[in-house]
Amino acid sequence: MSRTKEALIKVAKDRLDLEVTDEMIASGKKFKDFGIDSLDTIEMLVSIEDELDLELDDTKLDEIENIQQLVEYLKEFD
Amino acid sequence: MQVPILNYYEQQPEENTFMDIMADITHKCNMTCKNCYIPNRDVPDMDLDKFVDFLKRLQGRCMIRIVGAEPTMNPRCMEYIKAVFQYGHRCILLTNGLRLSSKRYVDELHASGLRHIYLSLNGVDNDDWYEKIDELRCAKKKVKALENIVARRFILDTGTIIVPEVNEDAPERLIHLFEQKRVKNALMRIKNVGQIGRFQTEMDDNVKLDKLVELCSDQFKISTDYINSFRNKKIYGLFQEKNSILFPLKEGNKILNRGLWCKITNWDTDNESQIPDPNSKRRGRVTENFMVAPLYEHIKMNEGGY
Repeated sequence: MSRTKEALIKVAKDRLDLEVTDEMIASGKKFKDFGIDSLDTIEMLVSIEDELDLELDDTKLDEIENIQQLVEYLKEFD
Repeated sequence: MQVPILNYYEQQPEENTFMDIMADITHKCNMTCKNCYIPNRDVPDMDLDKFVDFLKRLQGRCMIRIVGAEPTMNPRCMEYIKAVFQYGHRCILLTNGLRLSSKRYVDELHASGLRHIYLSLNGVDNDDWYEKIDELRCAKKKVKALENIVARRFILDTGTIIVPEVNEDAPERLIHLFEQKRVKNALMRIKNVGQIGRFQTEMDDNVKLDKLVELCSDQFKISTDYINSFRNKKIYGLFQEKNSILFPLKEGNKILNRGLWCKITNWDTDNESQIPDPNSKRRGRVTENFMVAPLYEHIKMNEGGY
């Protein structure tokens, strides 16, 4: 598993008590379908930055609506 | 004369319907601000065991606002925060930031699991403003706290009360400070003086909501039309609040607190009890007997007391 995907799974579990599975990622469902609201989203992003010690690009983040897209975007940092 | 109270009620934690719940973990404070909704310092700290039991029973996933007077004056502050996360809730610490001028203290907060801090910056980085509003020349400590918070990558909200003829230039000064300190992400909460507890500006002299919009428009260099286009939009996608306007400074920003955001709030609402945000379905408060009550109705009921 890539380090970015690992970080995402850890953060979702630690911060949101959400088990991110491959099925969940592949489903392409929006964040809100998993009960992730705007406050969760920002907390998740900040925690991923913290975990990986990187800075995510806000213009790209604005386009991201689901976990699948986030996983894809994070691959840039692998 | 008895003050009329609008729609006061209490809920058992299991029946909670509020999303944001204020927990005043201490009534102690290391400042004597002229605007303070709970100026009584004679109340003992909130019982931690009872708070834990409250959290255990609390219905829904809530944003628990750890607040005071000054919450960092409670020596067990971190334990309250840890308990919030232990029971699956979200947490924000509302602080004047004096203790957060210590990097070590900020590191401890981070280690407790906290990721979101609201820092009061009434005087921004101007000691004269702090003296006139908060009775303490504390700009240096406030700025140091800001630096520590940003260095640790906390989600940052700042709070600034606009006092007429004192700090009306605060929005512009905040932007300047953020540029200096490389603060890229923040939600600036700009408000007028609430008429509750201890306050320095009477209603007639207070800055009104339209004036707050005008000040932000001028100083953020965005149009009033742009700001007003966010009126009556749902806050956090959930709550329509006629006394608040939440908007990103840069048009098109979608993620809250990424980039610079502003929330203008009118605490000077014109209702018979002068309660800011009456009948809120969003904001609740932990009562002395560990029930949940609507925030400002509860504060008004206990004005000068709890």
